Amino acid sequence: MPPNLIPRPDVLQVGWGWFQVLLTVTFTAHILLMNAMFGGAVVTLLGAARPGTGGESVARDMAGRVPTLVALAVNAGVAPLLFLQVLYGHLFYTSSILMARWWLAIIPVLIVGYYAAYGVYYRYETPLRPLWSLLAVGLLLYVSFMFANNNTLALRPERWIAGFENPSGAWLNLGEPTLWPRWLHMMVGAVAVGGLFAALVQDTRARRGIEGAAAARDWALRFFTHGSLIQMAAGLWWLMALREDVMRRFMGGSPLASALLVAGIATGVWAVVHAFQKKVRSAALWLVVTVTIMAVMREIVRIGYLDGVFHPETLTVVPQVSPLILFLAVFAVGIGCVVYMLKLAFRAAKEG
Amino acid sequence: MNYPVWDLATTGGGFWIALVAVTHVFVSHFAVGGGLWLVMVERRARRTGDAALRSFLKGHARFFLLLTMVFGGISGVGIWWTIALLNPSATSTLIHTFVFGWAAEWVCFLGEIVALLVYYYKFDTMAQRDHEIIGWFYFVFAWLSLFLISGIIAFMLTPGGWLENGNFWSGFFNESFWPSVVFRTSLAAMIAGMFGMLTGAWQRDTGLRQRVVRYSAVWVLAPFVVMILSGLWYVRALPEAQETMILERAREVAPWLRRFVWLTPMLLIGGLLAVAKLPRSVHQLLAVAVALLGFAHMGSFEFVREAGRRPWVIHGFMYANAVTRAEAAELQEAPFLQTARWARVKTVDNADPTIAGGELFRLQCSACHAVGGPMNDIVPLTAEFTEAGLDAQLVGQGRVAPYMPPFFGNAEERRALAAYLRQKLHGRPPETPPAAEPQTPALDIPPFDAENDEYVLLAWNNMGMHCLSDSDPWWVILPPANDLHAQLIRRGELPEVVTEEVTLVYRVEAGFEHPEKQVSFWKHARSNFGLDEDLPEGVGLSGNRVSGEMKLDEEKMMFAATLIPMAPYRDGRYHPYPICTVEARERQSGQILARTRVVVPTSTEMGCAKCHGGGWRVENRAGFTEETARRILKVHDKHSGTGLLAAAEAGKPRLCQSCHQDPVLGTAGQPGLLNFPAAIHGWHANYLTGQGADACAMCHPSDPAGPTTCLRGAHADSLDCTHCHGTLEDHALSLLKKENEAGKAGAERLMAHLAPRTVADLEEVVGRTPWLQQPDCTGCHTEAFIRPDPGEVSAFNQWTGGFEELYRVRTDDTGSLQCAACHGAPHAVYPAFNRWYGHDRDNLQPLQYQGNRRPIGAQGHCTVCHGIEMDFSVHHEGMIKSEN
Repeated sequence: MPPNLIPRPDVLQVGWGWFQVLLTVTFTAHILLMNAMFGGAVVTLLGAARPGTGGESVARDMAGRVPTLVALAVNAGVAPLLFLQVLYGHLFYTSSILMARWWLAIIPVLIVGYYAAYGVYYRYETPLRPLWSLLAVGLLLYVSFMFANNNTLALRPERWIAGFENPSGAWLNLGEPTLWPRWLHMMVGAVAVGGLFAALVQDTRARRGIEGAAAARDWALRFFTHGSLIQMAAGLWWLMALREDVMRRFMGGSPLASALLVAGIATGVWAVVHAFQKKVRSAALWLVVTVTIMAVMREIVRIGYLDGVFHPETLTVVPQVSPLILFLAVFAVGIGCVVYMLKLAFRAAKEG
Repeated sequence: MNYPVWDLATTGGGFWIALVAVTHVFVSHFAVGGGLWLVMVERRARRTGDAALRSFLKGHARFFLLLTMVFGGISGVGIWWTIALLNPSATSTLIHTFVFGWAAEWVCFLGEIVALLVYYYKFDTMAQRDHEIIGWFYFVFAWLSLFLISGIIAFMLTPGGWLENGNFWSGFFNESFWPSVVFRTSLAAMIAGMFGMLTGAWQRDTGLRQRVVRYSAVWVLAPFVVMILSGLWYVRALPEAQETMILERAREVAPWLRRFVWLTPMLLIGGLLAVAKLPRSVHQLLAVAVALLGFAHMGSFEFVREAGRRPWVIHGFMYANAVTRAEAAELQEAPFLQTARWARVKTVDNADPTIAGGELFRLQCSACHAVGGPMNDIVPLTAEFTEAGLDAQLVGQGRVAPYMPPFFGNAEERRALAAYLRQKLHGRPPETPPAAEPQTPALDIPPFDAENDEYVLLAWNNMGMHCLSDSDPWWVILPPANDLHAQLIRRGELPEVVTEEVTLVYRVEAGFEHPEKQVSFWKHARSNFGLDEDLPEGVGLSGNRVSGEMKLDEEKMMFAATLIPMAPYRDGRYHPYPICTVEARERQSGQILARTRVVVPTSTEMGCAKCHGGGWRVENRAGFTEETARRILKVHDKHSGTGLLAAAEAGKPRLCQSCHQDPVLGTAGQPGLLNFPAAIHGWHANYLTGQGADACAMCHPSDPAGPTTCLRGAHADSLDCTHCHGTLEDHALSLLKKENEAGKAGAERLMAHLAPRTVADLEEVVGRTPWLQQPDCTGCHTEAFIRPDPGEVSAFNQWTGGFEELYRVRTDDTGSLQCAACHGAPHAVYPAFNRWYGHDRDNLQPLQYQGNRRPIGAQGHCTVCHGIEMDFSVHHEGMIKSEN
């Protein structure tokens, strides 16, 4: 690999740990919402095709929720992408440029996919609904595949030389061994989590005694239980596909990484067990714990792949603390406002 | 350069940024103003109990959500996506400088989304008061987003104190921040009104439609005063460089600025019309028109704002092609490709320099320029230059045309880029100048009987080469106007300059008798020279023809024929050295007393076409084509805001010096404008920097390999143009400095990027008046006119005191003999060597009178006039070598 291909990074205003924590936390939020969004879209597509079952009930409900989930997933995605650029921007920009055509296409694809989600909602009763639904799922799949490409390519500067020879931005990281298992793991996981989200909604309705909600919950919950089992297999494939030195970190090489892997599998299995027992809320809680652990493991994978190439602790810090204080203050006030608004909204819901 | 460059040959980077940015910005301003519009209309509906209005509002809220949250939200991310792909370095700087500003904006984005979702989905189920509170939350979050983003966008135009201290707050609260916030807020309110009109105009309930459209029209109209005042504040807040760039320098911006200025009152009119009660279809038409006008208005503003930071992406810190100011200093002359991490080619292959040139284009130009695409297409922009011209453009980039960054790289890389542009993008073959072929014509030297002839007739051309621009249908710098001088000497021990009872006539050699058939000077002389009536064909500006009688200049004791309309063409071929026969006759009898022959050199090898293209008119080596002449006017119009091309096309070509004062033509020009030599040398010195005499030969007929080679006198043996005139930079600065001292506004701009090369700094440059203050012979020939060491001489800065001290009108110590009478014309002093038209073509008189090529009387040939050998130097010190 020509080492001089790696661009010079810029300086930080506060220590890298701040950004690493913010990146991991906001990514966890994003991935949960993204899973609910994509899984919700898949559940809608499949559920609507089963009239008269719990699936149809789930689909009708999720059709209205998916556009909102798109908005929230996109918003929650902005923050980790921002903090990612602060720490790993020089790698991420480079990999983005190498696949620029595919990457830029995400924007129009996402706009159309987002409108398609609204199309499902507003045109649910029309014959065009399956088309809108397929379009939404298909386009979101495209977006996810491009993210998998970019995130793997950013970790492999040694592969950049191929893009170096082809600057048209039409390149994809298809030769990357982890690409397919990583994407599969993410997407199957998303369907599983989407099922759990739909089940959670139906569970709440069932607790209110709404007829058919329990059947709908059970129908949706299968996506989580079955999907999680497939997803675990995909996760194992991903683990095996990792570069050997990185994989070994999870096999005892690094006590932290190994412990996280064990903990992640354990909490994941525990969540599935709860799901089989129809304990949806517990399953959801354990799922959040699992995803958080997985998000940390993902960062370990990133740092492992970049071992010897780059570590954010090497970044220069020219301290400026006041902007961080500004952000934390805005964040606190902003979250307070959001909570207040939701309070007003739920008050309306109860009254309504 | 730090990052790879996405190869976007057809569209270039600018197109994508413009496409995403302008559409997003329009919708995002709607997202801000529209939020306020929603709560204000809702409150109005509540207070007036207008159920129809409230019902309409729900539909509008849905439209608002679908447009702003879906398209607006994702296209906002799209801008980020796009700039990161096209200028990752700048994006990284913005991210790292304002990371917590962005993060704070993300919180506002979250607040917006939650508020809007609640606002829309709970429209019918919330208490009205709570619902309006949600609406206010939405608006405040949206406006805070505008506030935060404005700081970062304004930072790119005016980074303020951040450039020195790197501080977040200095960069955020920069010079244009507050006016930008107020200006954008007013635009946001107007756009909210436009969309209100748009949805309102489609309502079937006539009363509702009228109410909504009228109310919305007020939103379009009310912010006008704020918009205009904050717009003016915006411009006033800009530092001089940015303001000048918008208002004066960036020519491509003028149309956008005009559009913005014109669209503003049109929006006002549209808004006013909408207030009236109109039919539904008219309201719909008007609403669509106002929205489209608003979009164009916003787009124009964004284009103008972007132009203000040219050539930077972050003003004063990083150029549009991602080269930082700090890197620029190191890259000016250094090999660029070696330093660019992602350059696929590291060196220039001389066998095919276009490979490296293409890579340089991709790395340095493609961020803004497309190849055959819709915006900033490089193909038409470079179409009117030759390869040499493109090379010169690259040299001058970022100087007198400061909207471009400088070219980064060494001369070899610069030429490679020029070759790529010309050969690959325009499909032209490599440029090779046509080879001139020497001719060996028989030179008819008149006889001279040293024993018996009573007279010696000495004749010379006063300039050694007169150039004329045969571009008369379009413009003219110099007319056909050659000056021929002569002195008649009665031989004897004490020779006498004869001025009485004789007439001197001149006659051009065959083939040159009809210049009116060669050039179109006479057709356009009236317009070009402001004459009251047409000039008779074949007659020059002073009334002389190419053959005629010379007039006595008693003071100088010589005869002269001025402004002879000589043209350098014979038999359709270029020939810059016509010979005139001059005869002295006794006035009464007409008896010929003496006869000689002399070159009357005249050239149309003016090299505009070498850079500006258009080709040569005659034999691919001389004369102006229509195309070249047009291009010169076009480029002048572009840079100086003139309308010369249109005037010429209307049949009114101009003499350049009618605006730019010039002593040689005696024109007064327009007060305040640079004199012509200062303007033309000053301008072009910025494009032909760092060269020697080859820079002179780009315009003047002095190329040693060219078809004229005007410097052919004794000096040409060991000196070139720069030894007397200085390099082009020196030459230009000497002219500009005097103009600057005279308070001419344009001088400073042309001098800003020029550094003298013959002397240490500008302080040492002696300013001069063109034509009247030229290199003084005695600057080098200091003692007894002894030949100095050519390796050490320079006449630069040693100017004649005025016209009377010029070599071409100077006399010997007796005051009776002109220097040029014995030494020959400037640039062709004896012994001369004419490379192309007979080696001795400029030595006719020394050969006629003394059988050698030396100055008249040199090497003991005093007998030519005196009849006897002389033993002291009467004409000038050092003439008799034995004295030294």
